[in-house]
Amino acid sequence: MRTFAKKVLILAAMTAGTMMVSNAQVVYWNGLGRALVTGSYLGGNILNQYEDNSTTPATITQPKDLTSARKSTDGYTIFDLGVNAQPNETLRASATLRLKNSFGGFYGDGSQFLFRQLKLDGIISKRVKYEIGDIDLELSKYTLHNFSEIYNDYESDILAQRRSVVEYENFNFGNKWRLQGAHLETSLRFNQGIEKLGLRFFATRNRRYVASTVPDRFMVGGRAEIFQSRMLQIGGNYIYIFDAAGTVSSPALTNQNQVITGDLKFTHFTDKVDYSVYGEAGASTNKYSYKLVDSSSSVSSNGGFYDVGVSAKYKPLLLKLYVNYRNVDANFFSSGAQTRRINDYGTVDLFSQLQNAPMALDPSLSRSSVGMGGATLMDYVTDQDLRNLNLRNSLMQYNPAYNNITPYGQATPNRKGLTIGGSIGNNEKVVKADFAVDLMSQAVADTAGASERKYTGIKGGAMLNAHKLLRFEKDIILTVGVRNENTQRSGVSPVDLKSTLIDLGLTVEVVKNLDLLGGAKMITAKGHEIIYARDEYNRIDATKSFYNMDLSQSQALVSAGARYRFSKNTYFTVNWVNQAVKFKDASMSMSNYHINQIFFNYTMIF
Amino acid sequence: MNRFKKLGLVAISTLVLVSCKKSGLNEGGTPKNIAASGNFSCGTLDAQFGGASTPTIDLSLGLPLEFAATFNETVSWKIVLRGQSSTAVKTISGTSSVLNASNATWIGNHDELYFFESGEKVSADLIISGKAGICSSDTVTIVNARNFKTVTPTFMLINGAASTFNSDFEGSGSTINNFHTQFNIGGSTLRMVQDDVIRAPEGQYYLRIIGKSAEQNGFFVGGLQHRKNPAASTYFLPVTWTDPEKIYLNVYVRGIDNLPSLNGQQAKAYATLNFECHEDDRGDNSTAANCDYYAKKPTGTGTDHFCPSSEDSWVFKIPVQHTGWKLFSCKYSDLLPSEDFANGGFGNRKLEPQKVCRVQLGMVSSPPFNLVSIDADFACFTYGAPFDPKK
Repeated sequence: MRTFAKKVLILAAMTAGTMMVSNAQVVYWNGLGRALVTGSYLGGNILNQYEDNSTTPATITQPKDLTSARKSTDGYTIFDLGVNAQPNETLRASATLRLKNSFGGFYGDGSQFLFRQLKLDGIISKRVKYEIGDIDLELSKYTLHNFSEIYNDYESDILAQRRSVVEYENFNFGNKWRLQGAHLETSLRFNQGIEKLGLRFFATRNRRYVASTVPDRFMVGGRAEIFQSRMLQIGGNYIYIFDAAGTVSSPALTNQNQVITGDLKFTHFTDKVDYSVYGEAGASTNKYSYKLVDSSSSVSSNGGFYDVGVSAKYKPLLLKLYVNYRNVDANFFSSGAQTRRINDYGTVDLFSQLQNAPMALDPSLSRSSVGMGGATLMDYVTDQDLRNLNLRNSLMQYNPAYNNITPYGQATPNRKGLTIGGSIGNNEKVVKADFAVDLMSQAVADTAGASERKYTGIKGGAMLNAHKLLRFEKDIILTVGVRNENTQRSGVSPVDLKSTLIDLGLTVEVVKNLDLLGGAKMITAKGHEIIYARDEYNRIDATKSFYNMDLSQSQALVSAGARYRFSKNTYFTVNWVNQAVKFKDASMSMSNYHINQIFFNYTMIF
Repeated sequence: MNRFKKLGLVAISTLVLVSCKKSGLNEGGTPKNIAASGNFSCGTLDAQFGGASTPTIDLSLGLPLEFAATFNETVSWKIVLRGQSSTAVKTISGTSSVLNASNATWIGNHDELYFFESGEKVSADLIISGKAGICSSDTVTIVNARNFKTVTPTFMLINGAASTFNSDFEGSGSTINNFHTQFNIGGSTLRMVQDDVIRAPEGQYYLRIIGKSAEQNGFFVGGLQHRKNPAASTYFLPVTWTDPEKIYLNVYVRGIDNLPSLNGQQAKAYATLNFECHEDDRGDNSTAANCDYYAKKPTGTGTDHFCPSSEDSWVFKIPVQHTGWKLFSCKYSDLLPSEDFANGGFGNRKLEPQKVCRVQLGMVSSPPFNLVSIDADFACFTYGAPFDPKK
């Protein structure tokens, strides 16, 4: 009955919209259609019985896995229809309706019809632009920024295409967070002194209350930017995320997090070289309040940061060099900038259960558990439910193999040091390449008696448009990317972790609009790191056990396939995918596994 | 591990195959550079058309000028063509013992900034590797320069094949007044003839916008706009040009050297050229009844396909910070949305190049309220690659 009522309501809204059209200026449509099917196969030592064959009595055993699934088939068809009605020139209403039919749910069984997105936007007095509803927001890298989970600047086309499906499903558009609220934007021009003043203000509700215990969580913030001229820009950002305790009767833990920053960019232009000096600095306050029946407590912390840099760009070659120095205090906390978009140890969709035990009984045997190395490279680009869509009020767990220098983005707390980098070319040239070197350390030690960790990171890559070099009409594009990290701490609680990530990609257009694709993503991690638990006040809790993470693991994600492009935004692709996970330690080799997958995808964007 | 080895082998093999080139040899299989020996004797360079010696050449026909010479040994050579008026340069090179139609031809293109001009003398100097100085010379007069304006599947000036009021600013009767609209809000839009100080990259004329903004915000100074007539059934770009990733806007812009003066005041280096495309999102004619922008204009204001208050403008911003003439190109997909919410900034936010109904070259002053000037020439659209006059 409820479903019927919902359909009637939607139909009524569409009818009203259509009637509006008869008096309205315009209705236009956009959207996406996609059909996606996967067939997966799990194999490897993890499924087999294992016994220690040494002369001593066997101490390491693994029974044969008799209950975990070996094969999995999945897929769906979706149709996202975007309706944009513009009844006048100050208002536009946009709604995206989704029809989804999961694989196997034919004849209407298992079909879903829902609103994926709803937004009103328009202009007030030709000066102020507003948006209400589902909005995408971003400020600076230290205030509100949805950073990438792993270095993927030179990821192969075949894997990037796969990732794009996951990002679309999770509203990961660039580095913006998808939120629900309102956003205002305006710019004012001046007669003298400065050219333009830009103002932005937003307010969102990040979390809906749970009756009695969990209060609503809101966010307000904005940016003011003075554009003195094309040579000088000065800006300020403010963001305040808070739990409204009064929205429930018995709130337990509430949090208020404020961040304020100022930034500046000065550029000196010459005929061939542009020189820039830029920087951002700011501070945060973070307060947790705990309220019981007859007592209450609160914990506050304040932190700050500064990030300054210089760059020079030689325009004839599109060659840019830069040097940055930043110091981010250990207590600097910015919920909007430090929240990760992936939960490294979250529940994965594919073959989540292993070794005879349902995850609910023994989470340690989940494929994405800490002991199993967490979510894999394949999960990163294929698992639509591994992503986190909510701003968190404490730092999330992370897998140090993937990113130990900036696991919380550029705003990662307790970091100081230099970043030196450069780039050359762009996507239109024969070669595009860039590199960055991080020479960083912790600002303060996180363990009593220990020294600060030292981090050394090198990353870079290149894209070669070989067809431009060879003057072929059809595309031949090679990509290679490398990221190497080294974390060291000697003395008390030593740390020694090295990880290397390699991306390789090849795209060859064999005939018009038909591409052969190949790609690989490989990571090796070896060493020892210590991951501390954090308490409810986001503090490292020295009384709780920490996780001595001994890593000796390699993963390889390899994919090959073909793609036919019907048009710029419509394609069909079939890929073969193989993910191999290997633990190099003999005691863990029984947990090695691999997943083979065949993947079909038809996508149409209009 | 075997899997990695196989993948590595495939990658390396592919790289080798696609990059394989015999070292030390050019594409023809002959050595890259052969210097003349002591016994070398230089033949006479002769400019020819259709196998016969010629003192003139009409490059607008699309047929090449050929060069002929014979040497007593195989050498590396180059022919440097220089326009005596335009200062345009073209270099043809090779390694052989004979120059003929198979290896020494010229279709009227150029290597550097300036285009060759109709009516000018071109000197052709033959230089031999290992031999100092010019070996032999010839001179030919260009009756008609190569016609770069011809509409092809991958090239067009703003107004297609029109010989007048087009974006090369040449042609008889092609004056600024023939463009549909001039915006001179405190500025002037002029058709300038080249002189010894400032030469037009192409032809004899170029566009100049100069002035100080009279707008309240001191920002927009003036420019040119070309529109499709309300009755027109087609838009600016060919219907086959559908991919915004492959459409390029191109224009020559002169830099901040030799800035002109106006009324005793010299222009400042604060100009930005906005090369704009306005799209007819709705695919209809705009009127006072369906477009708020025109509803608020005086009665009789001319309307066209574009409604500024509810359709998209896309902008290619060119801040002028360089010196000399320079060719700027931008992909349609890299154009920026209009910053003015009420004027081109509130359309359907989709890049629809097939719906471009207005093209505009406008100048803004940043910082505002300064006397600024921009010289521009040969604004054009290309498909597949940026404009390359070397081809």
